[in-house]
Amino acid sequence: MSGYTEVLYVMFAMIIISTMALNANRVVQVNNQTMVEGQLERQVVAYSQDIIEESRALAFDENATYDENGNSIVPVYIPGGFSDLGPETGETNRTLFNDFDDFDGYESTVTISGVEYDVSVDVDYVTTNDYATYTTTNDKSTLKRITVNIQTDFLQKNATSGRTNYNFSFIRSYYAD
Amino acid sequence: MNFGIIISYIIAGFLMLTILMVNQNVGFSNQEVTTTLVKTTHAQAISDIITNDIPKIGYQKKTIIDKSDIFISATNYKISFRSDLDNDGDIEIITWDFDPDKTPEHAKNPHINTLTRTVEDEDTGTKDVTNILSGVTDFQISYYSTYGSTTPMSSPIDVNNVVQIEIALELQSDYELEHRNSTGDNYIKSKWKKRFSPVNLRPN
Repeated sequence: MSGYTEVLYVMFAMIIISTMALNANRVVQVNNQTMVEGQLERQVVAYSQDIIEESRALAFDENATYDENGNSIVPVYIPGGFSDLGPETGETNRTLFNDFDDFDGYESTVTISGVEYDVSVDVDYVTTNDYATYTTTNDKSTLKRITVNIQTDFLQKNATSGRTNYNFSFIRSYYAD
Repeated sequence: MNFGIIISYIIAGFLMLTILMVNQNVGFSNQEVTTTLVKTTHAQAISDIITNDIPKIGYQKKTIIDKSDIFISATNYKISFRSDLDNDGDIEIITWDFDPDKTPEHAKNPHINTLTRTVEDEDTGTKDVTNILSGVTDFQISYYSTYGSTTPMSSPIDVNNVVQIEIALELQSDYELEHRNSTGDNYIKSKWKKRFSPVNLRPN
């Protein structure tokens, strides 16, 4: 045994150092992953802002769009005179949207800097009593909330979990337009 | 010679190699992460200024700048427009100008070019020029005449029809990361792209 005592010592050391090496590699990997995630998340925020800004640039409602003189049409009954959510007939793509809620149900896949992002948008009528908490309502209201959901294969909590859903909301008021 | 000692030396040699490689990997990773963080911070700083400027295109306190007077220049590398940026009632001319052929003297990365932001007081002519020397390698401006369009307007830009402006920004590190074995550039990149829908460019 005495001739191989050193071998046993060295093998024991090898086990310890291998464990340390594996841990170090794992840390390096986590660092890289965090680095990439940070960059992608910035782009996710920027794209969701794009959609929210674009929806805000359109009329509040199909029945409150602009006439040929640029004046907003006012429905006779508010909010009962507002339209149903979603694009109207003929508004088949984003360039044809003319009001805020046309984005309801909108889905697309965009590629930015080589990364594909799946985008989906929901618009709801909401109500509030305290301007702090908002509740979705099936009735019509003077408040609409747009929610942009973005996912990508490159942003998930870990290899086995699903993709992380990033969602951003904006509430628009007919009266504060 | 004792056979056990020989084997021990061989294994110890492997251990030393392992330690050296791990040390090297951790060092390179640190360099990469730190450089990325620096570039991301630079990109964030520039995008913050862009996000401050572009949405205010055509703004003036208590009045409206006529749409035909908003833009002074609109190309893929230069945008110049009027806005009351500081909300004091006076109009400033804001210019973002990227020169893709002008590498700053200090730059070690040949892809780095010069991005300049100028704010000029229209009344006094006083200019505040900021040369952005944070490693900008690309700064492209696209203009859209329809909301949500995927086809940018072609040059020369008809400024009266612009409703959206898209800015694509790319920054690179000033030095290469030598340990990267992939072909091509070994510079750290940070990209950012955003499309703005300025309120004062709305058609209605």
